[in-house]
Amino acid sequence: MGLIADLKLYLAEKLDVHLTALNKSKKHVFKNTVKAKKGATVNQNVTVLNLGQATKQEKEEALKLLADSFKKGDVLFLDDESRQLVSSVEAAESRESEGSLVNFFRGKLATRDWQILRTGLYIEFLVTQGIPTKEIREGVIRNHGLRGKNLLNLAAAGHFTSHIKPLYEELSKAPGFTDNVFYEEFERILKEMPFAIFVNNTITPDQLTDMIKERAEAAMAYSVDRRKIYVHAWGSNVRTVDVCLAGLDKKYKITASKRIEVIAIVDATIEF
Amino acid sequence: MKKISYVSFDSSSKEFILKSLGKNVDGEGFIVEASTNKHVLTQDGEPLHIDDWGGIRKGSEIFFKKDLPSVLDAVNQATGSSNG
Repeated sequence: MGLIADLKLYLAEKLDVHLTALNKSKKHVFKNTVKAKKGATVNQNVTVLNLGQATKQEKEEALKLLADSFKKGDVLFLDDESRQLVSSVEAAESRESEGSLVNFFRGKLATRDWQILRTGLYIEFLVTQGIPTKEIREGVIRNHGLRGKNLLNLAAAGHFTSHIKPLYEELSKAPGFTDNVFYEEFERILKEMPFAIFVNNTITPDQLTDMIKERAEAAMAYSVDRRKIYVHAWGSNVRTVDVCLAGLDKKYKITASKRIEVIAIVDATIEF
Repeated sequence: MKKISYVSFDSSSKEFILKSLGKNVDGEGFIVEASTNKHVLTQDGEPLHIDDWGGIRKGSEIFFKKDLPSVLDAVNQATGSSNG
């Protein structure tokens, strides 16, 4: 078949199409297997339409076909890298650990936050595969700012699994719970993310003290501008923070805030 | 979930796609309306350089950047599987 007949067929069948003008072969259409990035398991068959040798008339017809399909909402135009990334993310999310967390927060987080969460979890997955994540991280920071960066790091470091999801589950047990109760806590965490230690039940007061000292020493050694550490804990871990703060050297200036929603929550800022 | 065609493009066919939608690229590399030469805008209200362009989805015409959260959102919106 010729280029136009093929394009019509693929658009009608809602099949994926790749457009290129680089290939100078006379063959308009050929099957191509695009391999997803290392670590993902998807191999996707994509038909490549080669515009390199198309006649002027064929190009005009192709333009019209694409524009008509787009107007009907049947087409999404995506650049190559983005298309491959989407396939890789979907493959990663088909794993139970990642998919269930993504689904848990569907509708609970604002759309943009949810997409950054998905991106962060994907980065976490890539890191386990030894695949570089710099470009993806930079894209998020460039377009979603400091808040986006903090959310990304929160997700990529596994804190949604260990801290944020359990926190949401506990908070949601309160009668009359609305997502706003969670958002308020979540925003506080996001703001302080770069300086945060999230205390879970594997951490003892002594270990927390050591973590605080190590962080403070590192910050001083590297002349970090903001000399503070943020500690966040809820439930039985509040006691861990209490014991740690009570025994902390007086050179640290501590501002702690405790509140009780359904559960006790504490956050403390330690300046030095 | 709505089934759609993903039409992916490489750098050689970018301008072909834009042309099909009545767009051009100006001298500085920004995507503009062919008829008026005015910048197209992302949903954040920003002009879009062709190097940052991730794609376009229906909903009038929604141009998005190529950072991963923006691309994932475009796919969800286009297939009707959006957040919540």
